Amino acid sequence: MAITSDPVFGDVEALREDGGGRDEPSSETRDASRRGPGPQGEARASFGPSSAAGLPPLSGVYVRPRPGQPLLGGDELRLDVDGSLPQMVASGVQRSSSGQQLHWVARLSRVGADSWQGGIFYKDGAASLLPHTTLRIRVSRSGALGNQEAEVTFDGTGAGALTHVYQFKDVYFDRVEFEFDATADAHPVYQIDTRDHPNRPSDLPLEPLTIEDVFRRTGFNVSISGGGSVVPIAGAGIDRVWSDTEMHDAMQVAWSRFADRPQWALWVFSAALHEEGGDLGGIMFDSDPSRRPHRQGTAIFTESFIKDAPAGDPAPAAFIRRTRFWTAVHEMGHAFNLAHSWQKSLGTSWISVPNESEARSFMNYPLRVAGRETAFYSTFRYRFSDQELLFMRHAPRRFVQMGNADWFDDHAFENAATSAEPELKLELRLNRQKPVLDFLEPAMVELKVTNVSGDPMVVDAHLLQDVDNLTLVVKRDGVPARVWQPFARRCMRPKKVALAPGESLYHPLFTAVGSGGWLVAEPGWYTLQASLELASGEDVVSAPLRLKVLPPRGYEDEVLAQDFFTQGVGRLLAFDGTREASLDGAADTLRLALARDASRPVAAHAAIALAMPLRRSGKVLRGAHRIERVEAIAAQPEDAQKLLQGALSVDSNQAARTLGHIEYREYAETLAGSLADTGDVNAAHSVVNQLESTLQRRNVKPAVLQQVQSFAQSLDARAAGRKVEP
Amino acid sequence: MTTAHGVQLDLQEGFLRDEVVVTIDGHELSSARDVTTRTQLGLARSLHLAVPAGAVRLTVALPRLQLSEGVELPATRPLWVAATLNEARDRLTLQLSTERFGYV
Repeated sequence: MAITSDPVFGDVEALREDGGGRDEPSSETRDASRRGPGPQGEARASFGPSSAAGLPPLSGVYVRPRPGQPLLGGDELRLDVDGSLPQMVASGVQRSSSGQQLHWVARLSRVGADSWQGGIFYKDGAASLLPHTTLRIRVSRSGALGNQEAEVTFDGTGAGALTHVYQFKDVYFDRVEFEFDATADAHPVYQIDTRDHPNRPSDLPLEPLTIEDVFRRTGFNVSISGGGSVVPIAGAGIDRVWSDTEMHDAMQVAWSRFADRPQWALWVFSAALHEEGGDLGGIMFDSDPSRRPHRQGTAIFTESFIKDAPAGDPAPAAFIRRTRFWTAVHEMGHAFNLAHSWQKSLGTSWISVPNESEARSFMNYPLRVAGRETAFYSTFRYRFSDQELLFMRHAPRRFVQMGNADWFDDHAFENAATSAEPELKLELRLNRQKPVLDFLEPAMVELKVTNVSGDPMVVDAHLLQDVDNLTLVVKRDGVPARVWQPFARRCMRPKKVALAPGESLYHPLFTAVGSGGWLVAEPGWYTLQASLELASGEDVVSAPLRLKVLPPRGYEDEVLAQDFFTQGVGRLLAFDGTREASLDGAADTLRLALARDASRPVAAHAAIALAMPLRRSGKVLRGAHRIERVEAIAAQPEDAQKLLQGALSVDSNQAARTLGHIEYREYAETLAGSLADTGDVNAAHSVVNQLESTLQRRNVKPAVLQQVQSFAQSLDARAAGRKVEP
Repeated sequence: MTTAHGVQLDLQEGFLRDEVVVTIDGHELSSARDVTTRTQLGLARSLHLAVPAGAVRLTVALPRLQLSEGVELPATRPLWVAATLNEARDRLTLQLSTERFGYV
């Protein structure tokens, strides 16, 4: 069999040689076929064709294991210099023993046989891991495919060269799994023959071409899951149109690989029509900001406008087959986070990229280019553009992987050095059934870390309080993620404690606002995710916590919000108030929030921030630009008690919900202690009794209730030995 | 899908929680609020307009952006009009077509 080396598709005959069970007798039978793509899930070595000299390809993934640290994963090199659609690019990931990592990408030029050099133009992550700016790569061939090594020398900083040797791992850059399902009234096309329509590039290889072929040539080792199910229409009701919600629901039921997490897997659903009508030919339907993860499901509506051929087309049946095939790949491209060709400069892009309005890419609309479909297909080579290939092969994988970064966006912790068998589990939670916050209600979440190892562990008792080890990302839907920065960091002396299997540590976290400003304020949905770096360097990552902030209740809310979501108010809430007169403006805002409606959750936070500084006498520094004197501030315990009682006792259940159980208990015991100190021991007991009953109703652990009971027993002694404020 | 006597206005790229007002020869024909482009389609919303016979000028306005653009309507029906905002959202463009715009 003759080998044809094509500049675009590489080894054409090698592709045909492995039919993978495809029996394609004619265009007509293919068109009528209702089956899925079939069982050609085995990886074919089609991505890396022979070079002109008949040598094995060098492109692919190379790895550099870290001896003794298998859990951290090794360094990785992606070499993209030959094979299908080479981009003359190398990229890689450097990992440190402490769990940091850096993703880099470099442009290459050939400098000799199997040798390249270039400059690093993109870094993402811990830049200190690789300060170098240039690199040289030399690959040593040693016989058969799979035995080669890549020696990479990083340089260009003046700090000295760094050389690493990587072992070849795979010709494909990633593995991905597709599942194709269709309704009985749809006519999906998963495979075409490039010779079927006469309007094509004159040198286009003439061959059967499957969707898997397209993505294998893009660099993915494609396998097929499921059986290509045909969904009976009777199960869909009386109509043949599908809404996004119906498709999302169907995905969860019909897709054998469905999971609410990132994975290299995609569901492709073909149906007759979308509910929006015949103008909609296909859609990646899971990009709703209120529902995550994104980019796991795509749909093709085969009876929409894509069933039509232009008037006078010489081969209308082939035109329609080609359009349906093109549409399927186009929608699948969206799931890899590819935008339309004319939208490249919009949204959050991983690198600055220009629009490609005339690109002959699966991601462009044939109707939008000059000369419309006729011009498009006359030079279309069934491929993605170079810029798209660069992204799919070399961008940080969280940007590309289905279900990971949001559509048109990116975020989160895909870089964390997590263990395959973690010993600790980290959770973020709200002390309420529905994760919904009232407008202006500051977000207070609880951190919980649990020993899930099965054996007792020794940990630092302050593990959750040491914010230097904690990273919290807060992302409001539709806007980039932000990292929470605390107002203050505490340096705490380590205190080792034993954590029995199943035992947990807890800590409240005031996540609404930090030194970088308010993170949870405007109405909408938010995603919070925390990562805790352990002394071993391993990261423990929580599951994302979704919460919703309700809209303002009216005009007054909107007016108050202008003064409320300020750094001054944020500081007061985070530090439990102030005695500093210069922050009186912020305190006035809290007074207003309290006065407007004491039953709102925000009122409890405001009252506590106003009350806490009044409990004890204190001091403030006075002076303009220098300390001139220290001024004493007298305690106002009765005022403090009144404010705290309003915050905690009027609606104790709401107080526990909005403050969180830990903070609610702390403030209630503070109030009770203050009442005992001022001689009102009955009122103190009343507060503690309410605290206990409230926590009991909220199913707090018995050990905590016992601690509350012990505190109650201490009140009488405290009242007996009370000090009277002068 | 537009009717034989209708005009379909497709609000395509660049819309972000916008209010859109459509007038025919100075009379308001349709309006839409909270119009946002779905980037995976390049389409925000399709408005099906019942344009009176003999009407000649279609105007699309975005009051909040103080943008307005008009186009003379040919007698051809059905007719499709695409409205697009540029990336800076300071220019509105209208494009006429006698064939529908498809979205994928």
